[in-house]
Amino acid sequence: MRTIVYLTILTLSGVAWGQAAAGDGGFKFDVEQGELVLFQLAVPDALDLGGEADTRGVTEALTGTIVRDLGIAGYFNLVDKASYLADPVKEGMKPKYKDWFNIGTQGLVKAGYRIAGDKVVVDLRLYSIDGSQRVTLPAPYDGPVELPVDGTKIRYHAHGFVNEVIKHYTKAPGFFLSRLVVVKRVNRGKELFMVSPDGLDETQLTKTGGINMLPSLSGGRIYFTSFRNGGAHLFVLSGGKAQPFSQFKGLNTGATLSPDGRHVAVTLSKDGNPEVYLLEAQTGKVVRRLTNSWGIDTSPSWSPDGSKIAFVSDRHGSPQIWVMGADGTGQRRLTFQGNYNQTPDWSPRGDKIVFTARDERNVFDLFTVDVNDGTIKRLTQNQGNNEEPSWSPDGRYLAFTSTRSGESKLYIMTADGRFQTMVSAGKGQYMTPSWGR
Amino acid sequence: MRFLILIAVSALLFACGTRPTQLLGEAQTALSDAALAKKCAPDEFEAAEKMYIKAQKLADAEKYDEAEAAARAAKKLALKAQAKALARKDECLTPPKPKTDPADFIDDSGPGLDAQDGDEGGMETVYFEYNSSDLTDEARAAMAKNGGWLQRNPTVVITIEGHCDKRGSTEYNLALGEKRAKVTRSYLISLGVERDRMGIVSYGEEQPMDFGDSASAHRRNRRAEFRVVRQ
Repeated sequence: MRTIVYLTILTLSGVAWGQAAAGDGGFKFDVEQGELVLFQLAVPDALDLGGEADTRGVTEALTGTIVRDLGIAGYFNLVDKASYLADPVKEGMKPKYKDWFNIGTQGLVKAGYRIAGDKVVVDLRLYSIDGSQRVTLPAPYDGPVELPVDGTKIRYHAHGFVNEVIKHYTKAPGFFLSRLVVVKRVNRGKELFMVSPDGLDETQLTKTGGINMLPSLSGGRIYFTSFRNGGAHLFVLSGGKAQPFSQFKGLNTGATLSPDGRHVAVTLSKDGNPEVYLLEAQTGKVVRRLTNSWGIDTSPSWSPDGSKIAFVSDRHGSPQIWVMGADGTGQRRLTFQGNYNQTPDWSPRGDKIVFTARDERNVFDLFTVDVNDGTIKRLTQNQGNNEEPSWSPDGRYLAFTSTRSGESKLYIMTADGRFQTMVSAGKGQYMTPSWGR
Repeated sequence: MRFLILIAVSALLFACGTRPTQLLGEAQTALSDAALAKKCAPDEFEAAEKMYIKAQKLADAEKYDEAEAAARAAKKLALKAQAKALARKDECLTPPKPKTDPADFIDDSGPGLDAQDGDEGGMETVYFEYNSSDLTDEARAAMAKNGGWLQRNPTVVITIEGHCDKRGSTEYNLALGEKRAKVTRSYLISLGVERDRMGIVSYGEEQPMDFGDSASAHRRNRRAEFRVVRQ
C-alpha cells in the first residue's frame, strides 16, 4: 500500500520542498520510497486556566511558538483543528483519550496558563494518545512553571518544551534553544544580529554604522570581520566592547574556532595573497601558515574532531572545496563538478561538507559532498539562489539564505533537504548565518 | 564446633524472626524527606519508592531477611536521590537561563571609523569581468589616464578600493576585491607611479554602486575606485 502525504497540510511552516517532482501541482512525498515518517500531533490553543485575561500575547507565545517550531523541525503533521472531536476548552488539561485517538493523532500537546499581574504560571504537557498516558518530560517541563509575562521568556520555555517533544519522538532533542548570528544591511552598513531558530527575538549586536560581517558563533564567542578601523580586521565579541583579534596588513577574515577552543583558522593576505593561517585563540598570534598557493585560499571550516580543515581554493583556476590536515599537510581537492564552489561547512557528524555551488544557469544552490568518497548530493533546486549554509549543532539541520521569496531571507532545512522553512521574521536582507555551536 | 553451628543457626533464626520495623521506618522517613527529589530527580526517586514498596511486601510475606536488605537499599536510594536533586536544584526549580543570551553579546563600541568617501580627483573607475581581476583593454585605457593624472599631481596620495558584484560568497569576494585593487596598483607602478603613494583596501561586495540585481548592476559593481586621501 502506497501512502502519499501531501505537504500542503504543513503550510503552517511556510515553504516546504521535497525530493519528489512538483510537476503535478503539489509537493508530495512517497512514504514507501522515502521512508518518511510524519508524526501526527494535535496542538490546540493554550487554555486560560482562570487568571486575568490574556491581553499580552501569552497564547501566541505558547501555542504559536510550539506550532511554528514543530513546522520548522519537519517530520510532524499537525492535525487540522476542524477535525477535533473533543472541545479542547471544555475538556481542560486532561484529555479524553478516545476522542483524540479517533482522529488519528499519536500525540496531544496541552498548554495552559494562569496570569496574575506580571507573572504567569505556564503548564505544558505532552500526552501520548496511543499510549493513553501523559509523557513524563524532564524538569522544568514536568509541571507548572512561573514566568514573567514576557514574550521572549515564555517563548524560551516553549522552545525548551518543543525540544523535549522532538526528543520523545525522534530520540534526539530539537535545536530551539540554540541561537544564530546573521548579518543584515542597516542603512549603508552591515550589522550583526542574534536570532532564535524560529526567527523571532532578533537582537542587534553591533552598531558601528559601518561594515560588520562574516560572524562565527562558537564556544561562547563571536568572531567577526569589521571595517571599523578602516580595513577588514577581525574582532571577537563576548560581552562589552568587541576586542581586536587580528589586524594584520591586508585582509583579516572568516575566523572559526577549533573544536578544542585552542586555535582559530583565519584568512590573511599579509604575505601577498589570501592564505589560511592558524592563530592562537587567546592571543591572536600566528601559530602557522597552512596554505601557500598563487590563488585565493579562504573560508576554513574545522572537522568536528579538529584534525582537518576544509577550505576554498582557486589554485586550479576556479574556486573549489579542498581539505587538508589541521597542520596544513595533505592538501587535496574534494569537488570536481562545477566551476564555482564556495562556503564549506563541515558537518558536526563528520561525514559531509555542505557548500554553495553556482551551476551553468548562474544559479546558486546547496550541495553536500561526502568527505570519504566525494559523492555529491543536491539539497536545493529551482528556488532562487540558496547560499551560505551553516549546520545545526547536532548536524541534523542546516541554516542558509535563499532568495526564493524575493529578498535574501533566513531558512532552516533538514539535512536531507526534505523540509525547508523560511524562519526570518524581520525586514530586510539576511546574510551569512552562523549557527551557534 | 557444634557450639559454633548452634550460634550460627540461632542468629539466622533470630534474623528471620523479626519484622525490620525500624529500618522500614527509616526508609519511609528518607522518602518523605526526599520531596525535592520527586521533582528534580524523578527517576532516582521512583527507584527508591519501588524498593520501599518491595521491602514492605517482603515484610508482609514474613521474608524478614530480604525485607531488611530491601529497606536498607530503599533508604540508601532515597538519600541518593535527594542528594542528586539538591545538586541540580537551581536548574530544576528556576526557569532556564538562555545558554546563549543575546544580551551577553551586545557590542558597546561606538561608531566605526570605516573609511570615509574621498574625492576621485581626476581619476576614472575601472571595471572588471565576472570573477576576474584581469585588466580589459578599456580598463587599460582608463588606467593610462589615471596614471597621467597622478604624475601631474605628484603630491597626491590615494587609496585604491577593490569591489565586486554581489554574486558569490562574501568572504571570497573580499579576496577577489583585494586582487583587483592589487592588479590595478601594479599597473600604475608599471606606469611610473610610486608604490608608497597608493594604499589598497577591498570592500568585496559590501559597497555596491548599484543595489540592483541586473547584469548591468553587476557590471557597475565589479570595479576598482580611486580615492584621494591626501592632496
